[in-house]
Amino acid sequence: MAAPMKQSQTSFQKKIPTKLQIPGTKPSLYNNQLLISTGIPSLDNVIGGGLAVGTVLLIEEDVFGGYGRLMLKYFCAEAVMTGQALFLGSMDNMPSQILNELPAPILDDPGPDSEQLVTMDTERMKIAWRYQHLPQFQSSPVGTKFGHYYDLTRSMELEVISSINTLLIGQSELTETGSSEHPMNPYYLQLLKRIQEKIESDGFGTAVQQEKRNILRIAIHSLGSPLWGENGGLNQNGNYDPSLPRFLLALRVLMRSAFAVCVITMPTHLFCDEGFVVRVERLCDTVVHLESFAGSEKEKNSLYKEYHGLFNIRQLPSLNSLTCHMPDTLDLAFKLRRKRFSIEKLHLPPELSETASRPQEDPLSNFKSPSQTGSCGTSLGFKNKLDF
Amino acid sequence: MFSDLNNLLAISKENHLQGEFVVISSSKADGSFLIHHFLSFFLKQNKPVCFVGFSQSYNHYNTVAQKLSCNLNAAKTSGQLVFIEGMKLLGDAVSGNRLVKGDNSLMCNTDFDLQKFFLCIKSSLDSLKVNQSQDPVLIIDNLSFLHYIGCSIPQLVMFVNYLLGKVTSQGTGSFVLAIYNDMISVDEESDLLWKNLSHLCSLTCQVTGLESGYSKDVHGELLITWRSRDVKQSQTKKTQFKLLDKNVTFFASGMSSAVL
Repeated sequence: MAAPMKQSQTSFQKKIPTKLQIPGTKPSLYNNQLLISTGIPSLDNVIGGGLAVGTVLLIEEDVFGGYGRLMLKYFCAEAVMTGQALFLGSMDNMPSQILNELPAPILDDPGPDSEQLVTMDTERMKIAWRYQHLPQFQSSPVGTKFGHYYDLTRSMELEVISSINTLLIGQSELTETGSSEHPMNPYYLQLLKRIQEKIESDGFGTAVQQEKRNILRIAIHSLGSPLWGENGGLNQNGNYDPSLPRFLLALRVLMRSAFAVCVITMPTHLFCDEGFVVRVERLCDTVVHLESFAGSEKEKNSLYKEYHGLFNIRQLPSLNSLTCHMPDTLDLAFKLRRKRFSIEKLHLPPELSETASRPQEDPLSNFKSPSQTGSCGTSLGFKNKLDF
Repeated sequence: MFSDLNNLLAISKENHLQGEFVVISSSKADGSFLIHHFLSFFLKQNKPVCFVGFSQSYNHYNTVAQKLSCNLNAAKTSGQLVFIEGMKLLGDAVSGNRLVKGDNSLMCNTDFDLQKFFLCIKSSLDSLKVNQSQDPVLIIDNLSFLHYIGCSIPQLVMFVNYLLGKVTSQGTGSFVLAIYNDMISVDEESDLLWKNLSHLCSLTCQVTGLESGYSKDVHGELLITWRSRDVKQSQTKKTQFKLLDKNVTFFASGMSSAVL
């Protein structure tokens, strides 16, 4: 009896042994999708842990485009830190310029300090001595970390960046025109071809069997700006031009069969047709929208003085499940400190002084004529039965 | 398959939507749970099903169907289900560089050729009918993608008309079609598509977000409208829903457990 028992001991194994460990990824708790970090841990948190491999994130840029570009840099910097491959395409800027401005990582684990270990050893635990002989557990597994923090005041060294597999696609690479008779804008088509070539040549496709898997990060800056030849979904004759939706659909198909994640920033505020923006959003998986306070009325509003802009989650993907990740709220705010960009819950600043009321409340009280205070208002001189 | 939803739709053992044309529209909320429901429902009724998936890959539909205890792989091998990978088909067609082999290209000059696509669906419907000796069910998720990539509304309405004639002409097949309809935003064309389709159909399911905005506990509203030729009989039902991992809960407006 003993021999078969021994064999059956193994029946309680994990269903899927850790089959593929790709640096910088973790499985999702919700739907078992493989996730990668956006480079901004607070953003990962609100979109359900990170970006699922094989999906497209659309960042709708703020009016001046600065914050959208910053988020893209974080995404690229994370590729460098995890050793993943990077494909960077831009028409508005030189891609090399974006690459040179990546934020430097904050390395918080400089390795175990030898001196500290010695002192730890001599100084025995006094309290709770009965736990002394228990093995020490590590709460978080060591290895490649998921999501890093960066220091915006310094830029990443070029030697570090050159350690990963990068492909930069700028204006000069995209202007090779092929046949004119094609269902898509030539720039988009060229970009699509480049992405496809990269996936095929470096073996990022799911069909290819590989010993050591890696993830391809595709970052596209300001897709759909006028330099791409986009005119808000209209062609020169004023008819509907489906180039951008077609590109996004083809991109989604490419992504679904590859170990790749794509992040696109898009100046959707340049498109005059709201309906076109909705179509573009539908063809991406995760969609977030940035609204910067710079140059707007909200900049001066003391309600918002702690933030630099509003951050809306427009769409979250439901992958392999009926429902998508449901955060508490879709309306958040972003803040740019000296060293760090973060996404936070929008809340009102604390009321510090007892007497002062917020300035934006003042105009309201001016509108209130005594007759309008139907509720228990405190309009002096006008005696209502409900007033007190 | 959600039994609550069957009650709402007045689906019983005798009546499971034979000869009906169901249109599902979603705006601001995701109505794809209805598509998953209909797919697993018809497969469990042993109906032959032809499914065209534009919005997701086969893998997604298969994983969700497994959660609803329905095996698409088995249905595919037994010949009960024909799955047309619309997303891949469409993506390959519009990118143009690796066109479907030979002259089977689905593009006509610079536009998507709906006529060829219709013939493609028609042949799978015919083969299903011959093999399973039963009128098949056609499910399309989601027609709006064809609109997005440049098919005009009159073309699409014509396309749907042809399919409808093909599927429900005998009175025993069913046709389920999903579209996006953003009533809030000013997309006149998608509104036009919705009006045309609701003119043709016999049952509409409108999934909308809450008027008060996003909520974690109430995911949206479902408005079911039966359109019968007799005005007196046509009826509507409105309910709110919350999606769970493997199920959907329905409750009357304002009666969510989070509110009470």
